[in-house]
Amino acid sequence: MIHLDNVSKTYRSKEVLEPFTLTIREGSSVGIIGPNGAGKSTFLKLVASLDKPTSGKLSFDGKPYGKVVRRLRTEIGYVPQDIALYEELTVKEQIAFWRKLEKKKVDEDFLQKMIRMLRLDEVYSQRVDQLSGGWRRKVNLCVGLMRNPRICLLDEPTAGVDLAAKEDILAWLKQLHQEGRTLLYISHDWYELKKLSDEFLLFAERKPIFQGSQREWSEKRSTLIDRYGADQDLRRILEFS
Amino acid sequence: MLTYLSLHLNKWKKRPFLSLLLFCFPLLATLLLYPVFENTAEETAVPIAIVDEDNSDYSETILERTRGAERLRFTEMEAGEAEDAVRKGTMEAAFILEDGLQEALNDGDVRDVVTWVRSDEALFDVYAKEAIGAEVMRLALNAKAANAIDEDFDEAFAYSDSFWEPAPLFQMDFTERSPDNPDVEVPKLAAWHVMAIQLFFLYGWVLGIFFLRELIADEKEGRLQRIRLIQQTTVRYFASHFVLFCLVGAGSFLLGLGALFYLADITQVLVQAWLVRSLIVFAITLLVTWCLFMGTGRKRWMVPVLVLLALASFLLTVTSTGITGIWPHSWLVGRGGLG
Amino acid sequence: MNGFSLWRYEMRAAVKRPAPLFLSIGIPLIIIGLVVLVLQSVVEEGAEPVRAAVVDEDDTFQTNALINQLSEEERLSQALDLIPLEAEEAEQAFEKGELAGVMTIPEGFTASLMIGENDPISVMTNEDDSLDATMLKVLLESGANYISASQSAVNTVYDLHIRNLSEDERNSRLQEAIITYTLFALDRGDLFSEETVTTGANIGWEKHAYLAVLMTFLFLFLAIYQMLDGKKESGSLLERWRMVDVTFVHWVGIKQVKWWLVTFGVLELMVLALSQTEVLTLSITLHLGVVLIALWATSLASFLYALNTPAGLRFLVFLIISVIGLLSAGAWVPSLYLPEWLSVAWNPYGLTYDVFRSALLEREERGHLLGLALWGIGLNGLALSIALWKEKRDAYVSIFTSE
Repeated sequence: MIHLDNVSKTYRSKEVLEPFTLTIREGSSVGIIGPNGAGKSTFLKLVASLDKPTSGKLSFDGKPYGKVVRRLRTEIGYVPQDIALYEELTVKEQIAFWRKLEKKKVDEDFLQKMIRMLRLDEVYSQRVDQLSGGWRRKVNLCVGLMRNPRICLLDEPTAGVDLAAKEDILAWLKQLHQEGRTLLYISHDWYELKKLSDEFLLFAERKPIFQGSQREWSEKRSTLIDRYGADQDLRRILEFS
Repeated sequence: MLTYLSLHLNKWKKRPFLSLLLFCFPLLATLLLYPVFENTAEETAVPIAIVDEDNSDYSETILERTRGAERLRFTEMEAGEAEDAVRKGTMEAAFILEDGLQEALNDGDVRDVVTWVRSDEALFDVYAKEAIGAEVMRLALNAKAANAIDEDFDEAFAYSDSFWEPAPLFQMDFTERSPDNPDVEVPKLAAWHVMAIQLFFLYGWVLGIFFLRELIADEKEGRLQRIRLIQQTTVRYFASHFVLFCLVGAGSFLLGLGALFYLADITQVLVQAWLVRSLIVFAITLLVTWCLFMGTGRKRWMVPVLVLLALASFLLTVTSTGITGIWPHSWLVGRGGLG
Repeated sequence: MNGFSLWRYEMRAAVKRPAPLFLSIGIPLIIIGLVVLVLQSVVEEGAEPVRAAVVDEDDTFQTNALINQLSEEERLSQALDLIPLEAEEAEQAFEKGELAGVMTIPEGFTASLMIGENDPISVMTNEDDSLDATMLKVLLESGANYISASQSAVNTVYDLHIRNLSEDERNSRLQEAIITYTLFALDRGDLFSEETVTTGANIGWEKHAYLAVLMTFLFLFLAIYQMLDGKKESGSLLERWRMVDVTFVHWVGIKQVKWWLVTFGVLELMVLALSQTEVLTLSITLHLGVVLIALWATSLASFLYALNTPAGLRFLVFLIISVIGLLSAGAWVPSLYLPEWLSVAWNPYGLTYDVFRSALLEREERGHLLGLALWGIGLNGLALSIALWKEKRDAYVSIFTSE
């Protein structure tokens, strides 16, 4: 579905992603993990077409990104790590505002279902700047996914939220995956990752060093510890899995 | 203290180019604008057409002598051309040295020897009239004196004219004094230099005020609370911020001031006097600003309020309106040997 | 379409949060208002004659004649009130700030003048009253040349003729010579025959003042407004916009359109207000000119915005460019008096000046409109190209090539 061929990324002469190649299958749920600064968010932005690789090519359904980016952007839902909302609008206004901007007509049932699942109706008339961190993150998620996308790209969607909110979010994402959507999901929480993912993507040393199912992960875990154990951060991630 | 100083100082590294540019802005603006303004001010003049219909020694002398007149730009033209130029507005006025000018002056009859063509909107051409009038009168009086005596006309004419060399007979020595202290002449900066210094002062002050936002940011992001917890006191944190706040504001101001003094070639005495005074005023201003900001609880709205205060200080001082005595800008240009 | 939604959001924000707009209008109005007040008081003060004292310590026939020359000449007497005082009185009046200056003729001045020495007369001017002091200086300097001319003639006649006469005759002839040449010099107004031509090309000082205010306001307003309104959104919000195909190119374009509309509105209001005072007459050409002025000026702002210049720096850069532009366009000092190298035909500030000048002169000149349109389109095109280049560098541009 999405193929990255020898892709690398450099910002102001600092290489943040070394050349790598990988493929994301349709319908898969990929949990992305790795130490800070390993290039996970940059990878997600590249897939989301929000950033361009310094070298290499990305393709969607076999076609280069440059040729299909308009269609691609209607099929991808991206939820950034930061809260990307207009703070002065209420939740209702916020949703209505971004809804109007969607290229495709937003499926009302899908949207209402998401609002119910995330319990956003409880804060519908409150302004975003008056909401707590957990609620903001839910609104952030709702706005990012309201287009009912084929591919959901999520950059730490549960960072800083309480347990109840986390459960709401995870339940909703699980449902999306079960309905056949592709999920790419960055997290530092193995509990979440194991609950959601059928595949893990491990980033270290500015490139992906492992991609495979939970079973393959269990098999290769010790080999990975032997190989990359010198990196203390990575070692801990591997040991905690 | 050093730790805190470097903590505040290191913030410039977030956007080094921008920080440096904003800090050096008065210096860069002076280097860029000073030559433009200086050349413009030097070359600004009233354009005047001058027509020589007489083509005599006298008329040529008049043309020659008026050429160097201050603030007047004389252009020689034909009569028709000159009138057109006045009509089109490319010349403020035209002066036609009429045919027979030399003869008339030698005969002692000075009436209507020059035709003064001016536009209905002309304002500054009276200065050209004065300049030409003085030259014509010089020749006329030389001739009149030469006619009054029995000596050779040319010799007497030359004798009369010799009183103009090396300098005219009647000269005035102008000195500027303050009514408060009329016995001593105090060196003084040009009015527009003072204006530039007031602008630098405003800029340095506003830059300092913007630097106060760092305190708000530290509090908002929880860094200040962390310092309070770890150190039990925030005195050194605030003290070091105050030191840098002064350095940022005063440094930027001094860079502009230095560039102006260097380019305008100001005397050492004036430089010293201004430096001492402005630094004292700046220090007091910054202290008051800082106290106001801290006293009102480091509120976000205080930043625009302080900027407006600084703007008011500048505007009300340069326009001499409002209660001028209370504004730092008026202390800056106040009397006492500098004003 | 999404670009339109963003534009609508921006316009709604301008209405919902009008502080930037009010500040951008209010601050320049206050600044200009104060400057106008000062100029007005200067003009009023200028209409009064300059008061100065003359202290004649020599007190001779010549010095009395000299004071007469200075105080009785037509133009000087209108502008200068020269009061004879004793040294002490003059000092007291100066210390009280009542005088613009004190002219002191030293003892022995006449003797030195007669032998051709030029001991200068000292004039002390009041540094706290610089306008009057300058006027006094100009007036006295202009009178000085005439006094030099008449005194040269007196000295010539004295040296070459009167000196040889008997003592009785000498004094009377000298006084006669002084009177003759002084009166002759006083008649210098007769040198000129004055002709006044009506010129349609100059707008006159009053209208020029209106124009200076209008242009200064416009660029000060825009410098502040584009700073207060042009804060960049956070990176993640921009990413969200990019996901709905609103790129940096859209942002630049939308800011441009928004600033254009707001500036046009503000400028139209100013023009309408001026038309109420009958200073200018409204015409299609003027409205078209206002549209194009707003276009090019906001294009300059959006060009700086496209360069990703931070708001504060953009204000300073815009201000510096505008100060040079307005100066060279003759918006403050009419270009007639400025050096030629400063006047450039394609200067957009100059073209802006021309639009208003034509309106003030009630002329239907349209030549400069093309120049303004070219500046507007050119700067706008440049801004959008830079934005497009940045977008292409950072992400994919979906507008032209993509499915």
